Amino acid sequence: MNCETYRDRVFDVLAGRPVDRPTFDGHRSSCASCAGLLEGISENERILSGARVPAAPADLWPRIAAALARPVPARRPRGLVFAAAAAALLAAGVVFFSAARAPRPSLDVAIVDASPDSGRAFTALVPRYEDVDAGLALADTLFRFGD
Amino acid sequence: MSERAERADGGADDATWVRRHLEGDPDAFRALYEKYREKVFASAYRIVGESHAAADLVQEIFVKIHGELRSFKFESRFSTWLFRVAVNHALNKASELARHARIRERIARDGRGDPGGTREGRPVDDEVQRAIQALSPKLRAIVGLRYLEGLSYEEIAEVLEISIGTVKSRLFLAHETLRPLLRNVTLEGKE
Amino acid sequence: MRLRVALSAAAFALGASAISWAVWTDSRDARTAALLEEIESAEDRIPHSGVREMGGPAETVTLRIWADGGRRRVEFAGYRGGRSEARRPSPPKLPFFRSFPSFLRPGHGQWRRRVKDYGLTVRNYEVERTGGATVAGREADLYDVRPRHPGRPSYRIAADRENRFPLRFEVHNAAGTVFRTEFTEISYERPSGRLEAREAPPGPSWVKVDREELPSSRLSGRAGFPVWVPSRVPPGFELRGSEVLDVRADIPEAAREAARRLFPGAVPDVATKVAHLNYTDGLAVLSVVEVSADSGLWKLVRNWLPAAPAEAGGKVVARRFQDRFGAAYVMEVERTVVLVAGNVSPDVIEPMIRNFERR
Repeated sequence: MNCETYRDRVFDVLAGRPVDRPTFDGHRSSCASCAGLLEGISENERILSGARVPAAPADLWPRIAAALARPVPARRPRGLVFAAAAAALLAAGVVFFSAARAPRPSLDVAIVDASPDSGRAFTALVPRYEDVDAGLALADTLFRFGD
Repeated sequence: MSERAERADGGADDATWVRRHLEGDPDAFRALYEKYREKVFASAYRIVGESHAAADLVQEIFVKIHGELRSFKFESRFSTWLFRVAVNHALNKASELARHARIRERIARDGRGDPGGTREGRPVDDEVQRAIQALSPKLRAIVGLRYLEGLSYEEIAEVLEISIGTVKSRLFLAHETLRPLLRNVTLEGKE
Repeated sequence: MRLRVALSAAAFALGASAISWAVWTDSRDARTAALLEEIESAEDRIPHSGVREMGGPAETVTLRIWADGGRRRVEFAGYRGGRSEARRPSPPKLPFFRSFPSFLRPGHGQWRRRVKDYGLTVRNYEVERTGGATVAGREADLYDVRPRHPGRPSYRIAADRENRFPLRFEVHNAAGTVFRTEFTEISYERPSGRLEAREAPPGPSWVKVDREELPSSRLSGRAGFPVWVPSRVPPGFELRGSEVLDVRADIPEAAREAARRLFPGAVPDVATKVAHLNYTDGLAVLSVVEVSADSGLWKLVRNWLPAAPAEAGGKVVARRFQDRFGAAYVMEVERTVVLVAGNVSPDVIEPMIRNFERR
C-alpha cells in the first residue's frame, strides 16, 4: 500500500467503511509520514463536526419575496451570441440599429496636473501590486520615508 | 420527467413541492425555502465566513433556484441540485477581497462581531471558522459539505461533480492545512 | 416550400450554434475562473519558502519568505536600483504619520489579492496559455491575461505546472513592464520556525478605525457630509464595496508637541468619518475616498499636497497625478474632498470623475 492509497483508506476508516485492516495497519506502522495521520484527521473531524455556525437571519424571506416580485431585467447578450443574432436578423432583411448615448457630464471639471514635488503624496493613493508587508516596509523605511 | 427513488427523509416531499410550485401553488417555494434555509446559510457561511455575506448569498441562491426550477429534471435529488447551485454561487462570490479584509477585521475586533447571526457564539466557533478561512474557497466548500451538512463522499462527489477520489484528496489537502491551525482548539462538551 | 424549409433550417442552425456557443462559453468561463482561483489561492494553500524578487523597471527588492496556511515571515534580503543615500527633497513630514494614512489609501488591502472577482475577471479579460518556462527550477505554464477594454493593465503569470503556484507575476501597460515579482528559489517543504498571521498594514496604535458597510445611498447620512457617488463607471467595473470609516485618534503627548509646531493655534481634532467606495473589473481597482473639507483630519493630511484652489472659472479643479502604476485625482466639491485613484490609465478614470452625483 502506498501513501496515497493509505490516505484514501484513512477516510474510509473514519467513515466506518470496511478496509483491508492488516494492510492498512501495516503501512501505518511502517511509514513515518503517515503514522499520525489517522489520529490527526480524526481529531480535526471531531472539532469540525462540533463547531457551530450562526443561525440564518429570520428576515430573509421578505427580501427573497421582494426580489422575486421585481421584474427581471433582460440579460445583456454576450458579444458573440449577440453577433450571431444580429447576423440572423440581417439575413432576414431586418436592419438592427442601436445607438448608445453617453450621459451628460454632471460635474464641470477642469483637470490640472499636480506639480512634480507633490508626487510622493499622490503615490500613496495609487493602488500598488503588493501590500506593505514587512520586507517592503523595511525597504520603504530605508529609502523612502524614514522617521 | 424521470425520477429516481427518493429517500424516506423527505426527498419525496421535495419532488412534490417542486411539482406544486411549477403548477402554480404560491406556498410551495416557500416550503422548500423554509426546509433548506439553514443548510444553505450554513454552507454559504463556511465558504464566505461572515453572516451578512452569507445572508446575501442565501437570498441570491434562492432567487436563482426559483428562476431555474423549470429546468430541474429530477435526475438527481433536489437537495443535491440545490447544494450544487449554492456551492457554485458561493464559490463565485468568495473571492471578493474587500470581504476578506472586513471578515478578518470584524472577527478579530469583536470576537463574534457578527450581528447577522442569532445563535449565541462560542469563541471556539470563531477559531474554527478562522482556520477554515485559511483554506481556498473550494476546500472550504468541501469541509462544509462533509462536516456541517454530513454528506457522504458519494454525495459530495455528486454535488461538486467530481470523482470520489478527488473528494478524498481535497479533504486530505484541507486537513493538512487545518492541522496546525486546529492544534490548540478545544471544543467544550456539546450542550 | 423548399425555400421556407431552407430558411427555417438556417435560422435553426444559427440559433443552435449561438446557444451552443453561449453554453460552451459558460463552461469555458467556469474553467478559466477555476484555473485563476487555483493560482490565486496557491500561495495561501501551499506551504513554501524561498527567495522572491519584486519591483519595477528601476528597482528590485529581494525578500526571503516562509509561509504556511496564511501565516508567514518575510525578511529583507537586498535592494538593487536607482535610489541613493542622497534623498530627494521631501514634502513636509507629518510628525505622526509615516505616510498617507493607510485608511485613506484607496482600496485598502485590495491589492493583497491579485484577482478581486473571478466572475468579472473572466468577463473582462481574455486568459490564454501561451507556453512554458522554467522558473526557480520548476516547470511552469505561462498564462497571458489581456483586458477586453482599453486602459487596463495586462498580466503574465508563470504557474507551477504541478501545483499552480504563481512563481512569476508581471504587470504590463502602455508604459511597459509596470511590476514584476518572481521566485528565484522555491521549496514546498513546510517551513519551521515562527510565522505570523498576515495583518493589515501597520498604523499608529493610537489610531482607531471602525468600518461599517452600507449601501451607497446611505453613505451621506452616516458620514455626516454630502457623499458624491459616480453615476458612470468605466466599462466592466462594478461597485464591490461601500463603507463609512469612523476614525478616532488619541494622540500621545510627544506627538502633540511636534504637531503644535506645525499648528501654532490648536492641533486639529483628527476624529472624522471617511466614505469609501471600491470598484473593480475583476483585476483592476478604482477607489473613491471622501472626507469633509472641514474635518481636522483633512486639515492635517492636506499638508502633503501643495495648495490649490477648489474651483477655477466656475469649474471644479481636479488635480491629477499619474505614474507607471496608475492615476490619482483630488478635488473638492462643495466642501467634500473627493480622492479617486486606480491602477488604470487616466482615460479610464476621467469620464468617471466628470459624472459624480450627490447622494
